[in-house]
Amino acid sequence: MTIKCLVIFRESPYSGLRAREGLEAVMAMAAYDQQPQLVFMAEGVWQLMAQQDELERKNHSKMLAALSLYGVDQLFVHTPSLIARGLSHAALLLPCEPLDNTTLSALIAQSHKVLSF
Amino acid sequence: MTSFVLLIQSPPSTPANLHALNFAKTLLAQGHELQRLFFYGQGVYTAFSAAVTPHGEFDAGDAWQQLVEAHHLDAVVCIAAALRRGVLDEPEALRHGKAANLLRKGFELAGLGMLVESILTADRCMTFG
Repeated sequence: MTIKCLVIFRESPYSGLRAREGLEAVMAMAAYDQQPQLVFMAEGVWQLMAQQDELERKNHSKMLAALSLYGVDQLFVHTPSLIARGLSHAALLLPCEPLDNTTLSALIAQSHKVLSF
Repeated sequence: MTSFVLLIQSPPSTPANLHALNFAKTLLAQGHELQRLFFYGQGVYTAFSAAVTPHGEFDAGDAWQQLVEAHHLDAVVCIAAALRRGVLDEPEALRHGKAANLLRKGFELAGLGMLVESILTADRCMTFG
C-alpha cells in the first residue's frame, strides 16, 4: 500500500534534533516502500544550504542528499521563506521545486497524510 | 467513527503536549478510535517515570499514564529517540549498562516502523509539537 504523504520541515538543521529525527522518520517510511514528498519552509530552508559547517554533529545535507537512494526525490522549497531570509534557489544543495503560498496549500490539500517536523 | 494516530513531539508541560492530551481525551469521548499514540523527539519525556512535578502543578505524564491505562491505549515511545534521552525500560537499561527502568507503566519502546504502520492504516494522523 502506498499513500500520498507530505512531510514538512520547519526547523533549522542544527538548532536541535527535530530536523534529524524528521529525516529518520522519512527513511523509515522509505523502508516501507513509501515515497513521501518533502517541503522545506520557515527555518527549515536552512537544511537545504549547500555549505554547512556542522559542530560535532552529523552533516545534515549529506543525509538529505542520500534520500534519493531511498527513492525519496520529490523535494519542494517554500520560496517566500527563502526570500524572507535573503536566500535564493542558487544556494540550495539539491534541486527543489519552488512553492508559493497557493501551491503549498494545494500540495497539502492533495496529500492523504501530513507530518510536520 | 474515525481512527487516529497522534504523533507527539513536545515534552510534558508544553502547550503542544497538553493539546495532544486534550485532543486524545475528546476524540475518545466522542467515540472515535485512538489507534496509537507515538511519542517522538522530546515527546518521549512524557513516558519518563522519574520526573517529580512540584506540588500543586499539573503532572502531564501522570495524566497521560492514566489515560493510557484506562483505555488500554497503544502507547509507543520511539526507541531511538528514547535511548538518546535516557528514557529506558528494563531490558534496554540492562543492555546498555544504565541504572534503572525509567519508563512509565503502559508505555512501550518500539521502532519508527510502528509510526509508519499507523500512518498507512489510520484515517487521520495528527502531529503535535
